Order: sequence, then C-alpha cells, then structure tokens
Amino acid sequence: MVEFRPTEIHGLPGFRRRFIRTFSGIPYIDVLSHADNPAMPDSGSENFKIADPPCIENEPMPLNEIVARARRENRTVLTEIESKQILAQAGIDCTETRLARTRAEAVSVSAAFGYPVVLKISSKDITHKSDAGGVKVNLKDAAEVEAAYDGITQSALQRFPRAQIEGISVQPMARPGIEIIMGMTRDRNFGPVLMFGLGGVLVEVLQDVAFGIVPLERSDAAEMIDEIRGKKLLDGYRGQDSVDRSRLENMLLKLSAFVDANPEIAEIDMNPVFARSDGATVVDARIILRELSEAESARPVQS
Amino acid sequence: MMELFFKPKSVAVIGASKNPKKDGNIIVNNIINSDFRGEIYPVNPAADEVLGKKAYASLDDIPGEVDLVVIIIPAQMCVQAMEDCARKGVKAVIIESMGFTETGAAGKKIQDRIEAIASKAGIRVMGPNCTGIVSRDIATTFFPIKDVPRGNVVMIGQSGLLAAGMASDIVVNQSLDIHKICSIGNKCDVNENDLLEYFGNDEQTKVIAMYLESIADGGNFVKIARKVTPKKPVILLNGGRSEAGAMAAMSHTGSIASNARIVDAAIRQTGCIRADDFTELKDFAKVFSTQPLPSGNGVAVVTAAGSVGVVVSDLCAEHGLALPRFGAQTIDALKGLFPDFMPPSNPVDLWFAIEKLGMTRALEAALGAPLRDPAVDAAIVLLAGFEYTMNAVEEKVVQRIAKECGKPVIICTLVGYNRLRNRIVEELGRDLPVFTSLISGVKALSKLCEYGIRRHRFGDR
Repeated sequence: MVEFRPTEIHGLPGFRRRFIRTFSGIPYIDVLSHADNPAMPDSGSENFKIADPPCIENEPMPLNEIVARARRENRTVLTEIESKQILAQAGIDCTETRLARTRAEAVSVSAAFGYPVVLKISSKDITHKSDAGGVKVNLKDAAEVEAAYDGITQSALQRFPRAQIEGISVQPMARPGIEIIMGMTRDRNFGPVLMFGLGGVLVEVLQDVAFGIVPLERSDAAEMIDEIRGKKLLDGYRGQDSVDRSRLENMLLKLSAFVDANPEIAEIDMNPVFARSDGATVVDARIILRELSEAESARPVQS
Repeated sequence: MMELFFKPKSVAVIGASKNPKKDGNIIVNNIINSDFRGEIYPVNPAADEVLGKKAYASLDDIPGEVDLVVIIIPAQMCVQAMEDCARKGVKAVIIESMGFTETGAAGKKIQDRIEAIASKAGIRVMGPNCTGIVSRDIATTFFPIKDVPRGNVVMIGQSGLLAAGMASDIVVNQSLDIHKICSIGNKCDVNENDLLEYFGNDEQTKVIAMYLESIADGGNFVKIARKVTPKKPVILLNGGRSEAGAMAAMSHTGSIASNARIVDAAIRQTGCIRADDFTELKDFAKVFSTQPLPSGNGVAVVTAAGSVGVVVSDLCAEHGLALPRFGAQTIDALKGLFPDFMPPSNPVDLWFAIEKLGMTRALEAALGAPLRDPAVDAAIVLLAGFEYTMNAVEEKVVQRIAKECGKPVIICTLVGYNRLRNRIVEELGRDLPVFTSLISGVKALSKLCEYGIRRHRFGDR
C-alpha cells in the first residue's frame, strides 16, 4: 500500500545527490496523484529507514532559492525549517532546527545540539502539530529521542493518513518564556498587516491579538503590544521576570521591513515565540507563499 | 486640482432641465442659491434657458472655459459626455448619474470607459453615483438646499443619507457648523485619500468626519491620515465591518485578521477617531468643532440627581474618564451651596443650590468653581426639561461659564417635558454639544479627551 517513491529535486549542484540519498528511503503517500486512494500505512515508524550518513541539506539557503524550490515543487507552504531559515536571515532570532528522516539521524542531531531537545512532525499537510501528537518536548537522552521519533511518526500517520511527511524536525529546547504569536497576512486594501498577541495552542480561541499596518513605526509596535488584554503577563505576572518589550518591538519592526520587501510571502505565523526578560526566540514558524496566477505557473521557475 | 471642484470659476450642468421636479433643475437651482458668482452653463439641446440661465446644446457651444462639469444624464450617455469634456479641456467632473459599478457588470463596463477617458485626458472625476458637493461656495447636490453655513466641519461619505438627508438636517436645524459635505459615490477616481489630503491642508477645516464602506488604497490612507490627525481630528465611521475577509487563510494570522480588525488597526495607527453610527459621527464632529481640546481626562459632573451622578461615574470609568477630587479652593467655593450634612464632592449635586438660589445662580456657582479647578479638564452638565431650568437656558449661563473657563462642557438632558427638552436641544445645541443619553455624551467627551491628550503629549497643539 505504501508507495516508496524516489524523490527528485532540482537544486544547487550537489544538492540533488544529497537529497536523493537521504530522501529516497522515506515513505509517503502521494496525496496529489492518488487523492482518492484510501491508502494508509499499517504503522509509520518501522517504514522509516535509517540512512547513513546523517542528512546535511539543512544548510541554510537564501530566500530566493527556498522560494524557487517551493515553486518547483508546486507548493506554497514552506516547512518549519525553511521558514526559520528565512526569518533568521531577516535578523529574527529562531531556535536552530534540523530535519531528521531517520531515528538515528534524530539522535545524532540531538546529540550535536545537546540535550534536552524537541521533536516535531514536519509535514506541510499538518497545521496543528500538537493535535496530531506531533510534538514531544524536553527529551533528555537518545532513548527518549528514539521513542519520541517513533511515537510522533506513528500517531501522525494514524491521524493524518494522507499527509505527506518530510521527516521529523529536531531543535534544542528553547529557554521558556511567555508564549507569543507574531504573524503577517496581506489585506486587499491595506497590504501587509502584522499581528501580535498571546500565542500557543489557544490563539484562535482567545484571539487576544492586535494588528498593525506595515510599515510599522516603533510607536506602532509599542501600541500593538500594549493593546492586548493579557499584557499583564508581559510585565512579570506572579513573580515571573517581565518580558523585554523593546526586543518584541524590534522583532515586529524587523518583520515589518522584511514583509514589505518580500511580496512573494503571503502569510507568516511565528507561534510560539518565547518572550523573556533577555530576548525573544521564535520556536515554531510557518511561511506561506502567494498563489501564482495561471500565467505565472505556466512559466518555468528560474533558479 | 481639487480646487476646481470646490472653487470653480465656471460650471456647466450636463442634463440641466426646465422641469422643477428633475434633478437637473434642482442642481442648477442649488448652484444659483449658493454664493457661486461665476458663469453657470446649463447644457440641454432641448432648452433655450434653464432658471434664467442661457442653455447650450452641447459643451462645445459654450464660449468660455469650463472649470467644473456636473453630469446628470443616463449612464449610457455619460461616455459621450466625458469625451465632450476631454475635447473641451475640462479638468474636473462630478457624475451624479446612477447605473454604474453599483448595478453590475454592464454598469461596470461603462464606468471602466469613463475611467479610461478621464485618465487619458487628465480629468479628475468625482462619483459616479454621488451627489457631489454641498457648501456655501457651491452646492451640486440634487437635494434642494440653501443657506449652508461657513463652518468648520467637513463630511466625506459614500452615502446618499449623509449627502442629502443629513446635510438638510444639519443645515436646516443648524445642528452642526458645516463647511463642506462631499459625496464620493463609487469613487472611480476622486477618493477619500484625495479629499483627506485636500482638507488636511485647508485652513477653514477644523474637523473631518468620514463615512466609508471601503478604503480604496489603505496603505496610502494610513500615510495621509497620519499627517492630518496631528493637525485636526479625523472621525471615521466604517460600514461593512461584518464582511468576511476575502482571502482563504492558511495561517492563524490570516484567519483572525478580519476586515474590521484591520480597519481598527489603521484607525489606531493613524490616530483617527472611530464612530459606530451616523449619530456618533455627527455627535463627535459637534464636540470637536465646538469645544476646546482638553489636556487631561478629569471630568466634573454637575447634576440635580444623585443617581445620574452615579451612572455617569460608571460610564466615565468605562470610557477612560476620571472624576477627580476637587482641590481645597474649589471645595471652599462650593461650601455655601450645600447643607452641612453634605460636603461638596464630584459629582456636584446641584439640587440644594437650585432650591436656595435658582438655576442660573446655582450653575454660576457650581459649574464655574469646578471648571477652574486644575484637576478638572472638562465638565458634564445635566439639565432637565422643566420650568426651573429655562431661565438659565435663555440667559446662556452654561455657554458663558464654559467660555470664561476655556474648558470643554457638554450637556446631557434625560428627563422633562418634551417641549422644554426640545428647546434645550435646539437653543443650547447651537453652541454646545447636547446629548439625550448619558452614554452618548460620555463617549463623545471621552473621544475629545483621548484626542486632546494625544495632541498634548506630542506637543503640536
């Protein structure tokens, strides 16, 4: 039932080779071409083969190359790793994140980062990773990483049998802070707008957020932060350190300048961002590219 | 360029009519009834004259230059009229006809052709589907109007209600000191940004109030409004807030970002003042155009009923206003008005003073001292529609004290005989903002204070 498909990618010299070597063992269901095939793997994890040496295509790529690759692959949703690479290039602090496609890779990447680590499902088809049992945090050693790797792949494939799974992302545990969401969307009349608010899994329930029209000035960023109902959480609620608001303002201003300069990007979620007294770090991120018009999609993508 | 719309030297009306029931007649009559003293050229191939003005068969037959053309003929004839305007070298056109984008695809096609002619010939077009301008200098609306004041409030709207109904209400009832009302309809060319920029730089304009169902170029709106609001208040009523966003979002951000939330962000970011209905648009404009800007949010409340004082206090707290304690000097000045068992406080309970001194003297004593208190930035005065109030209304006591103190004062009138309450609304309402509910008064005052504090903070007063 499970289709093993040699995956192809047109990239930089040398890239293709690495990609195929590390990707060819990954099972996935081709949801595009077999949309009505109810194929479902019995269990995901044992199908993930151990590849050796560990994957190394985590090397950062420039924005235009990441975009070009996504265009070639006909997708508008960038992975967490791609999204963070792009944001990091915009000067926004993100937890370093690498993709593992095997259990062993996950362990070796974890060891390189140093424990504890976080493992997350990496799939463009799964938006709410934690709903799918797709996030395991505070993993303290190789055994925990292996168990988490198996657990995540298994439950993701059970809950989302048609999801295309790129692998498992590994990142060091970020130092905890207040969970913030920052994001961008484009409005028909106003152009790019930024969002700031309390983040985490309840963001759509609470909707404690404020918007700002790009380009932002520093006072706009400060007012956005000041507008949320839960702003007391930022000021050291119950003995917690208060959050450095100027760092959050900086992050909003960088985001404002970045989206203003990059019309290819349609939407951004940075959720959560851990905000602390000494800074703020993007722990998860998702970037959506704008849909191409028919005329644009007909044209071959230039790399 | 916009000057041609508001201060033309000559105006032609294409579709002018001899029939007093027709829009093309009323428009010419409104222009005659305004202070416009330039040439008026009715254009109608079937008439020799309209309202005593020589009529022309076409624009080409008019001997002199034409600064402004008003068009009121069926939509499908408007393309030809626009071509005539281009040939004549006209640079400003108001199209009041209906039957364009607002009616569907066929109408949109006509509007697109008009836009193309206009942009090629460098013509600025207001409308279509609008009523143009109401002002003392010129009135182009097809709703009969005259004696428009030379005031300081500009209203801009995509609304017939605003341009016709509200305009008459405001002008005939003298409820707002209007300077200009612009109805921009489908805004195929001239939009809120053009007018915001124009009136932002216009010295006669003190307050700009807008009703918009869409913001044509939001990015530009933010840039322009940011420049205008530090100079003068811009009040915005935004219709169509409940419409869902057009985009199918793939992010949390996109799914939460509704049209209303984004417009609210723009309002906050530009320092505009948001109104929630047409009455508020008018109320806020009234407060801003008649009252000085306060530099704080301290409010003194003067009322003859304790319960009203309690509810006003609650409403003030909810809308960011404070009722400060009076200073020693104020307490001393008020002492004589109160019985021994009731020390003076804020809200000021006026009842004992009214019984002792009558309304006029009670107000003189009980409003002046609190308004002069440095902790007080504004006052709310409650007046009931009963005989004992009317002397003070006739003698304009509140107006006098407010002027002496140089601080904003608003009136609320909740109870009384209708005929007397109406007199309060009408007579006091010419000089001061009068509200028939506490919440509307408190909300309007809170907007004034909020704006005043912001202006004060930026030191650009």
